[in-house]
Amino acid sequence: MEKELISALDFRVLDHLSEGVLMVEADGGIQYVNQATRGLCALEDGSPAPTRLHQLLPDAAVVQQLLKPPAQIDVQLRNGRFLQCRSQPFQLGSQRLIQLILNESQTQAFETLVAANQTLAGMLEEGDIIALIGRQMVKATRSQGFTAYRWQPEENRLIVLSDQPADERAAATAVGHILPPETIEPITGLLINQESTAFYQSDHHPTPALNIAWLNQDLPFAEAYFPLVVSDETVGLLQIVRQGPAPQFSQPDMRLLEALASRASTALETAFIFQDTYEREQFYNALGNVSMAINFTLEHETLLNLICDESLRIFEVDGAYIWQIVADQFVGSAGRGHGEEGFVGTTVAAEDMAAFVTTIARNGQTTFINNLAEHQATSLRIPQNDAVQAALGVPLEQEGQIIGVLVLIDTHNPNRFNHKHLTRASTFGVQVAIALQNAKLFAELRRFNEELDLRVAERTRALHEESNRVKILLRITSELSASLDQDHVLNQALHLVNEVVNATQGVILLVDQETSQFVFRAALGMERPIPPRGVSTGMMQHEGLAGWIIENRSAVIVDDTSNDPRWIDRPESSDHRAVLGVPLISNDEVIGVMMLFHSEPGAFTLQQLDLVEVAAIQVANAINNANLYLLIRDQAERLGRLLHAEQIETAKSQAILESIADGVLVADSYNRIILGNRPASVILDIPRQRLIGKSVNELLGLYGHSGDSWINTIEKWAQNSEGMQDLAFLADELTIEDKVVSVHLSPVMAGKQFFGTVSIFRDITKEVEVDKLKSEFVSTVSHELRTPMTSIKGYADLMLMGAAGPMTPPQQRYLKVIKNNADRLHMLVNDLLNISRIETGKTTLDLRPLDLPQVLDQVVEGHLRGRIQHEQKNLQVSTHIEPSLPLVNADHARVTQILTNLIDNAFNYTPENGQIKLYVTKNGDYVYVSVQDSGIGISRENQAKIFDRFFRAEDEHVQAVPGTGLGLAIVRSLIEMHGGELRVESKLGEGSTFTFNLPVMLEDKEPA
Amino acid sequence: MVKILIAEDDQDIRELVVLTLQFNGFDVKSVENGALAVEAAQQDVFDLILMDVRMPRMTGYEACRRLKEIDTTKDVPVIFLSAKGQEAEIQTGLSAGAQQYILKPFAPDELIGTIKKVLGH
Repeated sequence: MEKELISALDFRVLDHLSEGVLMVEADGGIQYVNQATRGLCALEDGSPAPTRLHQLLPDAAVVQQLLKPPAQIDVQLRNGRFLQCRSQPFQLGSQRLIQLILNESQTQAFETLVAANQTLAGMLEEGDIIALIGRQMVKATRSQGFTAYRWQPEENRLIVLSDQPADERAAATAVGHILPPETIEPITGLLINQESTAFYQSDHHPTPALNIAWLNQDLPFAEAYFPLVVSDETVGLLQIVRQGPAPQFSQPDMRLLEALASRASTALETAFIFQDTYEREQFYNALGNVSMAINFTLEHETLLNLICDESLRIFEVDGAYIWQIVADQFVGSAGRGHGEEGFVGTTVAAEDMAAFVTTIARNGQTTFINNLAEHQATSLRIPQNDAVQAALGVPLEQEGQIIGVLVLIDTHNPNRFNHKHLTRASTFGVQVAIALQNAKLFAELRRFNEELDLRVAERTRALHEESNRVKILLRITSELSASLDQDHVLNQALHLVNEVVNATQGVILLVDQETSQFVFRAALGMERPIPPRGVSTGMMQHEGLAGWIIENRSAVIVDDTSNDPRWIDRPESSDHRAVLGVPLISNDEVIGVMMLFHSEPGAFTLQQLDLVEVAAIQVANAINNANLYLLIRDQAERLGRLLHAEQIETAKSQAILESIADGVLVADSYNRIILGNRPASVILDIPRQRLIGKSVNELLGLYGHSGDSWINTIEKWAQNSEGMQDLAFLADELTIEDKVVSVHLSPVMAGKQFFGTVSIFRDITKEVEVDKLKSEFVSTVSHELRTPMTSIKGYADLMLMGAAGPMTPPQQRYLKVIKNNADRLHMLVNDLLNISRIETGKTTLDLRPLDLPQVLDQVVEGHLRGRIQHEQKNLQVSTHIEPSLPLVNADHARVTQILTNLIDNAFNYTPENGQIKLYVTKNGDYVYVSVQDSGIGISRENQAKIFDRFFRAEDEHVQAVPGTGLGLAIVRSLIEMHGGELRVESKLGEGSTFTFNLPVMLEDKEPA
Repeated sequence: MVKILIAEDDQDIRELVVLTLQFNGFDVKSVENGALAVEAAQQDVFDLILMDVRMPRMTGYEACRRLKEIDTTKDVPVIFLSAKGQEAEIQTGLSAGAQQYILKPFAPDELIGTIKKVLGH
């Protein structure tokens, strides 16, 4: 190259050099500058060139050095540029010139780099970086222009990123212009190998440079290629083109260009990283904002639209659409941007495999399609989808299920999307899904809240109602409890209940137990008031609606009485259309009904019924209470009266007890003395206080009486009170010191129950004494009387016998009189003795089994027949004895005495030729004996008297018979002592029948 | 002849009985009280003793008992004569050893009849 320079005289050639060449005189005057110099010095076209060297180079020293060739020094031009300058002597003909050659020295190159670096340092825009580098490259090599491409390795094609001809007026190749694989084939290798290369047209390859718009096809060109490597991967290509007669790129050029390209790569990398980071940051900021915005938006529809809006913004796309899966369809839910009108509501079937959404949904992966026009198989299914160049779809996933798809589209750039969008879109998709979930949850929550509010409101209302009801019930209860006046209570109840029910009329009917009719007891809204004890309705308790209520024990609402068969129409109830009736139940018994009426049909509700039912319980209770109160009051009065009466009785009894002379002790069923009067304590000689509480047994034992048998008997009474005989009692005599006390103890029964015993104590010492005296008297008298009688009778008998010699008849007669009277006397004495002994109980019976007929026979045959014969009184005697008579329990001697007496009477009082009939029969537990005569009979008034002592009838026949009048008295006493009775039947003048009975012997024994 | 001893404190009755017995062919000795009766019965052999119950110094019962203790007299039948007719008295008499008990006043034939019965005629 230098050689050419030196030998060439055509300065015009010099103009093609990239180095600056100057021809200067020894004094520094400039003779010639070439084009390159002008460029280096930043001289504009048309402006005069500098004439002196020092105009270019400010440093005089440098100038001096240069003017003494050869020299090579770094110079700084006045415009500040650093250059390397070489000076050489140049012989131009005769002129001794100096040739200065200006180079962008290493330094310069370095400075360019530095400058580039500096500028680059602040650059982050890819476009800017490339543009700058491109310009630098073009400037540094004075090329015609540069082009930057993006390389798509999969398609092996280059896409124009930037095209900058040095001449700004020239047309630039379109951005985005694609160089297909065939075109770039020559340089594919360097792209892959990351080598920079320069081509020369002399190589005759079709090269990409051919596609450059501003390329001057007539001029030869050289092209240099520099791959842009970012992160170890070729992402693009820089192309520098020089045109000229013999264009080429020198080594230094190439080195510089490579450095620049490398710098550009680094800068790009940084820029990309920065961009990436920035973008990411921006994205995430935006995403953050969007998320916040999204999350603040809980309205589903608003949310969807917001998502679309934000998608447009942060992804900088032309359209965003959201499909949601409903059933087995995709439904367009929101859309923004291109084709948004008419999107909402469109559907895509799940089986539509051609649809983009379907693919996304099925794969569950964020996917993009660039160059959509070339993918005929896939359709976006959005309005105006023909304009869409690229699309990115994001599946929206909730809990493992795809709920929808977000699709972003670009209508301008077919290569809009790349892998970094995938991550970001996925992330966004997650946020969207979450937001949608939240929105859904929110919607649910809101729905729940609304429902809850509704429920709460309802419940509050219900509680309020309930509270009201309870309050009313409380009032009813307290008012009802306040009074026991039944009428008042009932009317009050009706009024209180009606506060809830608002009936036009109401009644309370109670059932009258006796008549089984309903009785009005209280009324509401009626004209006539109810009288105090109520007034009958005239209806029976099974009639009508009220009757139904009673029978079924159930409350009832009748909406319209005209339709209800149970209702009985009555004139006064003609405007009762709606009825609410409840039974009044107390103690499980229906005592009445409460009915409320309204003139409008259907006026009553079930809630009112509930309340009234509850109130009815209170009313029934109140009625019950009022009744109970009356009952109790009556009872109390009665009890009071009883008590009073009892007290009086007790006082009386007490007085009586105290006033009787006998001692009375009352003992309870445990034989404890609970009551005793004063005489008892005196007789028993125990102070009263000590008597009370003492056991009767003790008392009996105390006085030497063997109370064991008594104790047993009392116990038997206590245990077997049912079987006790009516007249059971125990009687005995005790000797207490010098007193003789008779004790009579009998049980106290109330109905069948054994209550205790009553003991009567009588001081019978006197009686006993008297008895003793009487006995002794009787004994003495009898003895004393009998002794003289013996003599009287005896001597009379002697004389009659002739012991004193023969008697004259008169003497005999007189003696007989004496003897008869002595006999009479004797009989009287005997009778007297008998009666007195019987009366004092001295006579004891020797009871044995007795054959009554036999005894009778003895008396009849012995005594009676004897008298008949002896006294020569003709009487017919007959006996009628029943066969198989049982033995009787009797005293032989006494029975003989009885029979003798009765038979004697029959004999005495029956005139000659009369009859005496004797009957012996059995009847029940007794044997009856009848002595019948046909004698003088006994008058009715005398029939009672004959049993009296000393009674003798006035009748002359009776008086004729000697007798004391004691016979029947004695006989009756004896019979009664046996446990029998003596009766008489008689008619005056016709005869008498005396009948007595004796008890049958209960055990078979040998007859006495 | 049958020999009968009669003990009776009432003179009239004593004489009555003596006369009655004599009239009926009996040999009679009479004493006034029980003690004398016991003496007499030992001194003499009697076929029958009639004893009043109520006598001074010794009652008929006592005398009878005594007589029953004495060998020579114990087999002599005793008949009580008394105004006391109660069952208890009769029993006492019989348990004292008497054969019979006759109540006063008695008819003479009643007395004779009883005596004859006791003596076995």
